[in-house]
Amino acid sequence: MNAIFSKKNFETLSEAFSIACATGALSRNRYHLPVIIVPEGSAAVSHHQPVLKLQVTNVMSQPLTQASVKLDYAKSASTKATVLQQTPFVLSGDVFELNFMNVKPASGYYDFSISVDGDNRFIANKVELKVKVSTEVGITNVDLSTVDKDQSIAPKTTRVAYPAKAKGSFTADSHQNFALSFQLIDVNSGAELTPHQTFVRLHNQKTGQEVVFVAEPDSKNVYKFELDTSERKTEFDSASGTYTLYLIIGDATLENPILWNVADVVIKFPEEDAPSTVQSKNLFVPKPEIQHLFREPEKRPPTVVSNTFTALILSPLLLLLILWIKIGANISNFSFAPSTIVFHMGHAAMLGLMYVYWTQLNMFQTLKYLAILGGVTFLAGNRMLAHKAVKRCYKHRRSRTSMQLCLQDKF
Amino acid sequence: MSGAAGSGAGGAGSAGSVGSVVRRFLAEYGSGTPSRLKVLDAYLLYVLLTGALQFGYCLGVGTFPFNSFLSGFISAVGSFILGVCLRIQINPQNKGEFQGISPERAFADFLFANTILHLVVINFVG
Repeated sequence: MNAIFSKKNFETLSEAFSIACATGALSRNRYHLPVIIVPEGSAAVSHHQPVLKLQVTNVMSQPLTQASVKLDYAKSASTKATVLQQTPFVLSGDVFELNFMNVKPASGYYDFSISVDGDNRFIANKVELKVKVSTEVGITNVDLSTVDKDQSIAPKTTRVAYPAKAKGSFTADSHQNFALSFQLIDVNSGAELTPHQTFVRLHNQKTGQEVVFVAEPDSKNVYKFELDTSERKTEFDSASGTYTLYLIIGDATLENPILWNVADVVIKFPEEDAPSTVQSKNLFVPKPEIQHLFREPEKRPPTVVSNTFTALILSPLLLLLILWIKIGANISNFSFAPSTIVFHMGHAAMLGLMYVYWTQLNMFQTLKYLAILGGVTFLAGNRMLAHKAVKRCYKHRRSRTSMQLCLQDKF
Repeated sequence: MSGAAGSGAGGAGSAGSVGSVVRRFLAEYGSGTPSRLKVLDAYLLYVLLTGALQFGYCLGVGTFPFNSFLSGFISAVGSFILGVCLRIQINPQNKGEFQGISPERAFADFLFANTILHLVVINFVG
């Protein structure tokens, strides 16, 4: 069935007609009816939207209002605990509904397994669905304090309520640290939450710099953040001044992400680290151009030297010719038999082929020509050398066995 | 070569200098060696000189097209070796060791091996 429905756009009318025919056959026959179960909208429930709606149709998108849709089980994706099982969906119009918030699930993701019954012909009638339950977060017990490093003075704590801003400003310098702690709870159930994004953002009002830190929860799910000026001066570039502190809370399962201006913090860094001017790092100007260095060509000897060497290398050839003449090498035994001529022409042609190979051909073409020329030369040469052997062993022509032995060089 | 063996024994017997040994050797060589072998020896000397010159040039000006140097040098060395093989096989004094290989056969082998060697050399010279 996947093969029929794999394309979404069709180029020819006949193709679309065939698909429509197939779809019609699959929704109206006596044997098998594929069922399609799709959530209406996104598969998410919350307090504002407590009902999960499903569209249960056949392949022609006609709702199967005669079917009975049942939830087999709903398990939390993180804890794998079953929250609900064996609950039927209620038909409302063309859509099947289930009020999931009645069981008061905690926020997060749930795995639903749904089955559609009512007709023996239904196939593909069990699906797994991932449903998100979202909720609203509330921040409580927000405490801002300045903690003395020497621990000599007790920390001063101010409680702030969302969404108000703390009155007065807090100072963090070389002998005081600034600390922030808060708790996050689910507004509807009162359970503690640990969302994915809990950021503390400090924004310098004068220079526009901003630094973002993560607030981590401790074992009791209380979020804590502490600012130590000596530890953190590299992130701030040692720029002293007034910073606005924002708290950012976000998660996929939260309906109300929070951006809250909590307080103003005056941060003083030791004077010797302050930069003379604060450079804003502009990332989007063109960078300096890189000059490409081409590889230096290898050093070669001057042309004079190599030409001299070429002339020099031919001198042994001259010596060879002189020596040969002196020794008395000659071609007086040259017989003009056809095999001799063919052999010498073939051999000369092979040498010429070597030259052409050097200048133009590649190995495969050369091997092809070499095979042809070599074969011809070989046959002619074989003939020629056989004649020479006969000539050499001419003196044994009287006796057959000694002639044979001479020819085979077994003498 | 029996000529060389004879002159070696004669040279060791007398308290002669290197010069007299060399002169004796050359005399024996000139008279005792068939002219066919002398032709081959001239060819071997030519190949040797060519290879030595190539090597000297490479030492002088550096190995820039290294593949060219290698192919030329290997051509010289390979030709020398094949020439020596041919000389050994043709030499009538070695007949006992090469039963069944006629001089013509040796020459044909020499040509065939040279063809293959120069095919590879030309491929490599670039």
